[in-house]
Amino acid sequence: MSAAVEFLNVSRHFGPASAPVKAVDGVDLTISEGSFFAMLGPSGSGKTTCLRLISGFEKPTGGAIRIFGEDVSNTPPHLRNVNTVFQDYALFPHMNVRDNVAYGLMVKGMGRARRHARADEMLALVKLDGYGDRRPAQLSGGQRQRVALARALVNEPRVLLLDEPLGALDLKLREAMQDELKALQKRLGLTFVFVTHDQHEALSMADSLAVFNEGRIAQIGTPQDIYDRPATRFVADFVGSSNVLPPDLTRALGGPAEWASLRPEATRLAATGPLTGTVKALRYLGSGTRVVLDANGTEIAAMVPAGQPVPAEGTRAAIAFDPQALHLMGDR
Amino acid sequence: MRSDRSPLSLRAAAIGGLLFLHLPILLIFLYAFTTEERSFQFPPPGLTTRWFATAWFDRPDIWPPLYLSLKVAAISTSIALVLGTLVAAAMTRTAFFGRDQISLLILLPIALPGVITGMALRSAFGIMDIPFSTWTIVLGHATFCIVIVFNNAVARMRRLSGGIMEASADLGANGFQTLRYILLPNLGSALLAGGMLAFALSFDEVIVTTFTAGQQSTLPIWMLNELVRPRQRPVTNVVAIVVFAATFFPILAAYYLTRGGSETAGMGK
Amino acid sequence: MTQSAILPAKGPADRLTALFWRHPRVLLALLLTPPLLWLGVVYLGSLAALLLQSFYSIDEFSGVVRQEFTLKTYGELLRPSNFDILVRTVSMAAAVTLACAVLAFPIAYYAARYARGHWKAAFYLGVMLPLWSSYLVKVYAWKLILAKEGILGWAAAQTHTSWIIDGLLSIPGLEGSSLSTSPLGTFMVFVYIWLPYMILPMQAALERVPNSMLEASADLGATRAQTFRTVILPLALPGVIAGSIFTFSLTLGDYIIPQIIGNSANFIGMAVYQLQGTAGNIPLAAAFAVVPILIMLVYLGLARRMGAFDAL
Repeated sequence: MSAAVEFLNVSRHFGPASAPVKAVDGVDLTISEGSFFAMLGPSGSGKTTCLRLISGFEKPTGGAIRIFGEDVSNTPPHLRNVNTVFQDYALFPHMNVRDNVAYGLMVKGMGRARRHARADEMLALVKLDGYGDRRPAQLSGGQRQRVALARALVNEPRVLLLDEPLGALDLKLREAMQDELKALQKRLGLTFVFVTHDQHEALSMADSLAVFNEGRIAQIGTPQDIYDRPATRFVADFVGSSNVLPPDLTRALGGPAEWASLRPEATRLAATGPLTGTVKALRYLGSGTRVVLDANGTEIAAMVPAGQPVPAEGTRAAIAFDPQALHLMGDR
Repeated sequence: MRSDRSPLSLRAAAIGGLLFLHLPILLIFLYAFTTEERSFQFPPPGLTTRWFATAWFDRPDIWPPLYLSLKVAAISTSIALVLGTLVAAAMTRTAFFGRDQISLLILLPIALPGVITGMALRSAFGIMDIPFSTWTIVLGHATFCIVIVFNNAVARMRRLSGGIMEASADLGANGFQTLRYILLPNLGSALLAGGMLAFALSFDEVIVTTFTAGQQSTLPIWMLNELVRPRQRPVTNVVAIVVFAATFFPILAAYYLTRGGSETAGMGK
Repeated sequence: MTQSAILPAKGPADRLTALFWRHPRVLLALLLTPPLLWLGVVYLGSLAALLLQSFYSIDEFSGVVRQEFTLKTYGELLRPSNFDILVRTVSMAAAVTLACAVLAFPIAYYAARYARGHWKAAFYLGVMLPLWSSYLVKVYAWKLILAKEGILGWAAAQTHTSWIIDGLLSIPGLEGSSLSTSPLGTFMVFVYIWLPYMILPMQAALERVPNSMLEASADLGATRAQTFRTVILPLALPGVIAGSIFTFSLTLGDYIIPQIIGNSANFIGMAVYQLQGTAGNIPLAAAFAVVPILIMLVYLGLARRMGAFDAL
């Protein structure tokens, strides 16, 4: 697989050179062709700016971006063969759905009959057959999202960029669209670059993902890498509700004096164990109960699977775990 | 204060205030039909429609000022449409140095009393020995009409989802295609509204015009002369009705073109 | 499917778009140059000319403008007859502003707090239409109303209240044969014409007062009068100041109203008009015109301190 998008030490700084706001700072990144790549991070972490650097709405202040090996530093957005599904969809309010979808073909000079036929095909692909004559304002949020998708895909882009496309949908619709998007991506074999702040969405949909923090990439890897072996405290904290253990606690548990993460699912309650504490809070989650212990001032969460006894609040309990589950993160 | 019903006295004062704003204008209509041509006697001793015929057939002095006013308003509005839209387009882009100063500069011709704009232009014409002409009137009118178009255009641009311009470029449209297929269709009604308000403002303007017209007479200047030295008073009323209509209907149209947003026309005169 | 990732530029439109994308300042400069040239040359140039003229003087014997720098013309403003004009104009502007604020409040308050749906639209149009509709026609309408034989005199005669008008017209300083030739008439017409300019910003300011704040005040035991004085009035103040900028400035510069209605006492605007026209004394006219600019600069500075610009 060749690289669809490459970032070579890319920066995007705003404001005066003396005191720049570093939206993106020295990012190196390779997105391979045909993959579903997610950019995950809290708001303001630089993930959306990275997406806009690919589409051309931002220009790097340093470094270079290549799309399929070609440097795009001098290519304006309208000459880049990538398309975007915008966060608020940005449908054209004065055109009907068919003309919205056909817009990209129209500006490239395709005749009316042909482009309308192509638009209708695309609408069928996103299950909106028969909606061509409606106005965007007459559609629901989910339908608008599909129009935005069809409008981008009709141009047969080399890369499809999606900027928090599911953010405005309610939970049930969002989950359905996640499956659909994933299936569509597989079927078309297209490279998707997906920006989200929702770690569940990123982990469940992406082939690989980059976690952003303060304009830099904290970690790149498969969802499993990121979840099981977070590289930094930030990743451990942001990606899952993981326990982050300070160095002295790690050493007390038999490891080196380093920061470590410990997944609640990798732990079990036991009569005796390396880690004891007072039960501070219980949260029933359906599939199990999350038990939070206070171990000498450090909060540690453990999962008790459904059907097993749960200790009462205020009692003492111990946590046991497989030493391999303790993941060291260095000092970052 | 908790009830949502207003105190009767407040409602009466509010409605009374609105009537106070509107009733005087109705008198203009009434007096166009009076048979008394020398004084403003009330109630009119009799009613007639002959003044409309008189104004149309027997007062050739009305027509040249009317033409001049229409010409000046049309030219000024066209200039203001181009210049106002250009500034609006520049101002809705990213921040740049001097932006605040430019918005002040646009606002100034309408924020300062008209007599200052008029006297300033008059001084400049005096220093540079520029003879009065249609164009000296247009110079003044276009200057204060820019802000009207600007206000309408800028409000609409802010309301437009900024994304649609980017979406157009993203889909492969160059800047000119985006302008033609996306920006102008969405900006059109706001520009029309701004143009109408500018036209109304120019057609009716008298203060600046008296300084820039020299011996020429626009319709408002003709009216002003009639007010100071009346000939047939009801004929003045007939013309006043025309001037009123020429401003009233564009304003109403502008309101309906832009209503439903925070941008509703007319807030920024 | 295997198109290149970069599409070729087709034609000058694509290349120009690319140029603007690479150099956004080029586009910005192209957009701004025509309007800035116009406003900079025509408007600022004229204001500069005005300032320049005000430092010239007129030769009293030949009537020719002497193009040499002097403060003599400004000195003439302080002559009693000219100084009177300044005082009269500023007093009128202050009185008009005060009256507008009082009259505008119920309308703005009702429209902001109670009017809903169609009523709201009606109130908005009801204020906006008189604001924009022909200035001269409105002044003319008041000529009809205030004339001796006009509707006001007729209504007073019918209700046997003519003595009120006569009484007012006999007050020293307000004398006139009818309201249309009395300073009182000038004042009334000023108030009428500029009233909408006070209502709109006031309404905008009042609409920003959340109802919950008024309810909180009532919950804390304030009477209506107390709520009004301690909550609504302070919050409406920026709107009043914003409106007063218009009413004050417009009255300072107007010369049509005092020319048509009133006792032909001179105001700044009239002085400017007459001096540049029949008298041909452009330097003195320019010096008179600079006065409202200075007054408004001071006024705007004060208003900015009081936060009035948030309400514009």
